[in-house]
Amino acid sequence: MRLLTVLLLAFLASAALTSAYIVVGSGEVRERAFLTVLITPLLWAGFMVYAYWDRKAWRPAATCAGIIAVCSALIVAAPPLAP
Amino acid sequence: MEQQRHKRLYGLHEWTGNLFGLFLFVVSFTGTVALFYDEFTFWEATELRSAAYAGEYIAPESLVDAHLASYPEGTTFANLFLRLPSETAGYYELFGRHTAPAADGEAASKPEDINVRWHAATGAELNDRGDGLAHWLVDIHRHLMLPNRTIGRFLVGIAGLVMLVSIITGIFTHQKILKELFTLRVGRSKRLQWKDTHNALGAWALPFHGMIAFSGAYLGLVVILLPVFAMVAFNGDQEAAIETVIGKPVEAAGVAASPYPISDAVQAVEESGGYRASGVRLDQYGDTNARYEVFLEIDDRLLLSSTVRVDGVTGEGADRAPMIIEGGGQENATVAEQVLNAMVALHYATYGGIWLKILYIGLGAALCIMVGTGLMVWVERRANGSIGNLSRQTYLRISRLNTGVMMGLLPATVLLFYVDRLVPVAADERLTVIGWTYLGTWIACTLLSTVIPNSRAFVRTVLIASGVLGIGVLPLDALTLGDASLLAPAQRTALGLDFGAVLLGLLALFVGLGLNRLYAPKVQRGGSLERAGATALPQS
Repeated sequence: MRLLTVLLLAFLASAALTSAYIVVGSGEVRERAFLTVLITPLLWAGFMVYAYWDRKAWRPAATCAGIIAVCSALIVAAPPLAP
Repeated sequence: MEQQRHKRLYGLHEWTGNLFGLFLFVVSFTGTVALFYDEFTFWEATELRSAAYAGEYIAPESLVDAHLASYPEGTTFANLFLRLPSETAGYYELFGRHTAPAADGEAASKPEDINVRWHAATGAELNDRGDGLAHWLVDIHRHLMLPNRTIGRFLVGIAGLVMLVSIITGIFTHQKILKELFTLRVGRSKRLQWKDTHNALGAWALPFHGMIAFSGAYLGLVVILLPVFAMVAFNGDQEAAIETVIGKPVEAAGVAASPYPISDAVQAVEESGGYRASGVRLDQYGDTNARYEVFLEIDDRLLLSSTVRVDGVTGEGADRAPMIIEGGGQENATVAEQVLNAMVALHYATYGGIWLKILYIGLGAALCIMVGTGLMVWVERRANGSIGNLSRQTYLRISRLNTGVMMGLLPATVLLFYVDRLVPVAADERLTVIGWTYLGTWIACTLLSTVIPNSRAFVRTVLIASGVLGIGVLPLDALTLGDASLLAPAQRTALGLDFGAVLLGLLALFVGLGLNRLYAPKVQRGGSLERAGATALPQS
């Protein structure tokens, strides 16, 4: 379970979280894009460490899965950005 | 910290380090070498080095105009960039792409490269030796020289990410960092010495390692992340995403106009910006919508460069004021832009001159040693400890393989200087010869290390050979330079590189010759002999 979180869910969760921020966050799109590109590696590494931090192996996986689900819903529901 | 958590995080630290250790070492080593791209470029270009001088330059517009006019009518140009001369590179360089007009009923031609250099004082076209030494040494770090650069860059970005994870887990697992800063048990077992070296270097250089890992991860992953963001936020429309982030590209009006003199635009920008211009991007050159983007070389701030836009017909300042103004900071940049601007400069050490690069060499070497000792400790614990499921012989083979991969990079790198200067090849074959020399030497060293049972003798031989080759770079340069004198003031960049190679060569020679003394059998109190080399560096 931890390995799955490290290898897959951590990346998907960080990408989903930052993509959702671009779509629904406040401020200029350009500024949001810059911020997300900067933050993604930190989030990705953070989720990987969290996978082994928590005593229960399922908790980091569930957290990542939850983030992916919520952010995906936000992205689908929000209208696409216009340049 | 809870004991189980400590154990889990240590496991993550150990396994990420072990699985990716060699890859991290390769990326770290090649990255340390790649810091000197400008110096390598100058060193290898023997024909252009004679053009290095600090005199008066002729205006470049006549050269550019004449060159562009040599193409058939209707040819379109894209990404035109004019590199301006400097004290060490006294030539203009124009590069970009051109597309020939499509004949009736035929498909449009494929874009082709433009790459031409002119002597800055005479305007004479200079010969091009093609890509070689500098290109290889930098791009092996940037994208591992893979045919698909995006994949290569992404993999290097993954190395940064793994390093980031290793650093975070390392901080949590090493809870006595202050004590480890000053712990180096010289004279004890090899495993303890490696462990102490690993911990002490990790602790002392922690801010640098964190910065280089983060900026490396960002620079590598951005090539994959941007398309992902475009797909999500703009329904896969990458052009819309790029337009939003970078701005709309300049479109041609289709009406010819007399271009504003490039030299005048550069002079005006240099005077108002307070920095030397390094190049000019020429958008829609010769059109009424032409625009110049003048790049200022910023070497005393945490910025790679700053640009000023100028109308390519009237010479007026265009829609965006300079990001840097004299005596100020990045007044027009947002926080995210400032951080992004700083990222490249931080990673490539472009903000503090040559002394900063020398500091980066030391810290980069510390990173390599930290990764290397980490790998050796992992093997050593299994080869001579109670943990590990494989046989001792298997662990010793892994140890030799690690040694070969890590040590092989040293002669592979230094040998390129000799091949570049002594092997005559055509310009378009130069990179291939350089590449095969590098890979061949590296692979040969790795194979040798796996068959030579005495690892210490192997390391010693490689260090001595690399040292001698490094010392020889200075005479090699002096004897094969041609007409130019190595002592001329304009050659100081190459001379600095030559002396750097000599110093590093002497260091390698010193360590190689002293290796036997370092790991000499030591008489212990009970009278028994402790042979440090008998473990992961076995004696024959």
